[in-house]
Amino acid sequence: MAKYFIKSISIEGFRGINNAGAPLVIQFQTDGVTSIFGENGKGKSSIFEAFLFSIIGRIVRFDDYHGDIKDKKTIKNLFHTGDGSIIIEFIDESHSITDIKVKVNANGERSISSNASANPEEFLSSLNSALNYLDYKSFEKIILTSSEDTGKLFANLVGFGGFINIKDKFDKITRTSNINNDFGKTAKENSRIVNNKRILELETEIKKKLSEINVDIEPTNKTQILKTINIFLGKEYAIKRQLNTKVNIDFDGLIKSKIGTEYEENTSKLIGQQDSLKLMKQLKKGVVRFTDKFITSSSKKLKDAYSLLETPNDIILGKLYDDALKGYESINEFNKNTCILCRTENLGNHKNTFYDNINLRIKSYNKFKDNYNYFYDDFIQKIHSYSLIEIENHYIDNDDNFFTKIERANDYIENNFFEIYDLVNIVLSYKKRILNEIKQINNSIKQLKALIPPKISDLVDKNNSYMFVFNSIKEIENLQNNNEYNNKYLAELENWTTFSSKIKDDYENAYNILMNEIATSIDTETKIFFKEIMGEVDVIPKLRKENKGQKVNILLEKFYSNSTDLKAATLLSESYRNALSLSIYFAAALKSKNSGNFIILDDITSSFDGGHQLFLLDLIKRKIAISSSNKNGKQIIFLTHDGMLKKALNDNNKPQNKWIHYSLNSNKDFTILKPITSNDLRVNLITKIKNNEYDNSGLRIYYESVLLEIIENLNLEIPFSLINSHDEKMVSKLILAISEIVELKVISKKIKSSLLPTKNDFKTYIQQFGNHLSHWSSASKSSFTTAALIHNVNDIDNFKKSFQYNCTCLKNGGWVYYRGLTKNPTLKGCTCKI
Amino acid sequence: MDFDKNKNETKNLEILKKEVKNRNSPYSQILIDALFNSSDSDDFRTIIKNKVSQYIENKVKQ
Repeated sequence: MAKYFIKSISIEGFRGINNAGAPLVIQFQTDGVTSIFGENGKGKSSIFEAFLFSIIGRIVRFDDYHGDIKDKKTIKNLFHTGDGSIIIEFIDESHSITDIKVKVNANGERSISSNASANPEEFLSSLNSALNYLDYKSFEKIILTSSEDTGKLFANLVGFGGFINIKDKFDKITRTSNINNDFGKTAKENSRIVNNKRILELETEIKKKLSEINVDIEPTNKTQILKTINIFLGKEYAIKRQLNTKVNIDFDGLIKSKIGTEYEENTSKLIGQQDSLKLMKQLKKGVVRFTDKFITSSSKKLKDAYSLLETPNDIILGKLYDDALKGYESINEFNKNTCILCRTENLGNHKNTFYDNINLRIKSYNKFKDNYNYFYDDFIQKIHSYSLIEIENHYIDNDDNFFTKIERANDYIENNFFEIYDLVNIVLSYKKRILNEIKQINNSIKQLKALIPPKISDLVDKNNSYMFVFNSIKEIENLQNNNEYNNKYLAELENWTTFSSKIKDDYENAYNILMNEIATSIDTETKIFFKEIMGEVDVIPKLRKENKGQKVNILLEKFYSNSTDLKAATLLSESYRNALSLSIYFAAALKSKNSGNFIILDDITSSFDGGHQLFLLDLIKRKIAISSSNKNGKQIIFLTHDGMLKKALNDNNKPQNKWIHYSLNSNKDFTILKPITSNDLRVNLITKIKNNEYDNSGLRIYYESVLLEIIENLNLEIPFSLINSHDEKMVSKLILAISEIVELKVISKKIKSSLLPTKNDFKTYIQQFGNHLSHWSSASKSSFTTAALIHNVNDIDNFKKSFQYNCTCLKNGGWVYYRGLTKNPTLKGCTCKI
Repeated sequence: MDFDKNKNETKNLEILKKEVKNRNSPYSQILIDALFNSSDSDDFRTIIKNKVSQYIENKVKQ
């Protein structure tokens, strides 16, 4: 696999880098280290993000931001006209170059092209590894997270992040609850149980019905039963055919046509009463079940709820609170935040005993109400499932409406009336009514039978019994078919779950062995790197992959009086944690087989003191960066804002060290790799004015830059706080300050007054610049003509020249700031003009 | 199943694919297709649910 290094990057209009028409171009040391120093706000992280955006397609730190605060429109530089652009040149070991051109539009969307690569997306994807980019916020995560997440980060780091996705997928399909949901396993198993129960019930009923008409056949003997029904149909109704469960027989129609009109009314009544008897027997069963275990457990729940109340008055107080709340809520413009009764927490720290008591009681009442509501819902659900409402609809008078009482349950709370035992009594009285109904129906059946000749009555009994038996056999057959389907389905599902579980187990074992091998293989380097950064310390880090799941533990080997290893996260301070994270990271990076042979590091030294920063830099130089003595090392791109490293980085900036160092400077228009002078700003300002792109701030920036340059070059003692102030009148204040210090120096004869502007000159400048600035701050862009703007620039130039001398032999006409202020400038072989 | 730390992830995932295929189960191909063509674990679960239940239903009806 080819190894790729970064040869150069060119950035325009991306994040903090504008550089319209003059992209920031950085050439990198492909076989060593490139360091870039930039103070805060100079565009250093924009360079880091340009790499991430180009290669990965997103700005990784945005991943942690909540959607509310994320705005992709900030990816393109806000001052830049047109799309932003990033061009990266990658070079491989055979010196072949692959260019990647990235465009970013105003919505922060990326598009990619390349002259050298037919498939730039695929090319970038091959370079995409977590090991290639590291910023100070990311590397601590590997320690400060759960072992499970450490395991995931670790797998990502060592280039096996895709394995985690596979594991997550296996987990999803082998989870019992998911199998149940996706394939209805539990539902099918339960269906079998319910079906079998129903089959047993039907068989019992069949046996009973057959015995009532003196037929002695086992209910499971379907063939014999059908044969018997067939004989009955042939004998009584002259129907001669082979009976099976697929046909429908109209037993009611047959009997009516057989007995004729004479006994039709009584026979119909008899059949109706027999149906009612069947229903009442079912309802009786429901009531019996309802009064058993459910009542006991509900009674206990309600008693527990009551026990939360200190006195019955708590109910009344709570009810008052509820009513008050409803009252307040009915007023549209009511402000709940200022209503004490509505929100007891509004009392804050000013609660006194009285309010504390009210608050406590309301809390008790609310807990009671929660429990009561739970009981109430449960109770209603049971009533519905046991068909008690049907009983009430059919047999109970409206005056004695039990369910209306239940639905007005809140009234029961208010009146302290509601007792679970009332419910038991009500349900029991229903049971009595049902038994009474059954008794009455039996009497009615007896009386009706007396009105019908025994032969016809017997025929009705037989007809009804055979009808029930035939329909029951059909139902049993359907239930058995359903069971057979479920059995086959579940058996086949078992084949799938066994197969998938076995694959999952084998995969996890192999994955764990792999991760364990990798953790062991980088353990030694991690220890060495940690020691190099932190020096001789007592703690020795240790990486351990657990045998199950994805967990990786970061430990400290037992030391001092401890007999076991310790968890690293809690014992180590921030700098130690970061040193350990970096050590793991570097050890993993050096083992990585990823084709991107570079590491881009952004501000990784922030948490270290000066000494440890140098140790870290030394480690990178000797053991992490690629060099003739470390051929397996990586190309390092090191971005930092740390002033303490400035000298060390400059010292390393030598070709023989394979090290390039840059300093980053910027304003809002452009970012460059050398200090920005007032001349750079002037060129940019004049270009903008001539192109009619002047944006109101250029003059002020140029003014400020010139003034700061004068102060710096002439060593004027202006307070630092004034130089860095963001005062609107900073320009005038700086001129005044320069004027005063010059006057002081003249009085103390530290300066030759004839060389510099007089006090009156300064006054004129302040007035003149004041006018410019006030015009600048109040007028719109359109009020400036090009000539007026150029005139303003010339005024500033003239002011600047009054602190400079001109020697003809110097470059560009040779305007140079005075080095000393006490004598006329002289330059050998040159005409110098003040 | 043996993965190798000296091989890259793609090569090791090929080992997994080969292993699943070698089990000679009617579910091997369904699993491979779903594993390598699904965008995330939820997508994978949906594919498995549809394909496996379809296979089982067809088999039971036969």
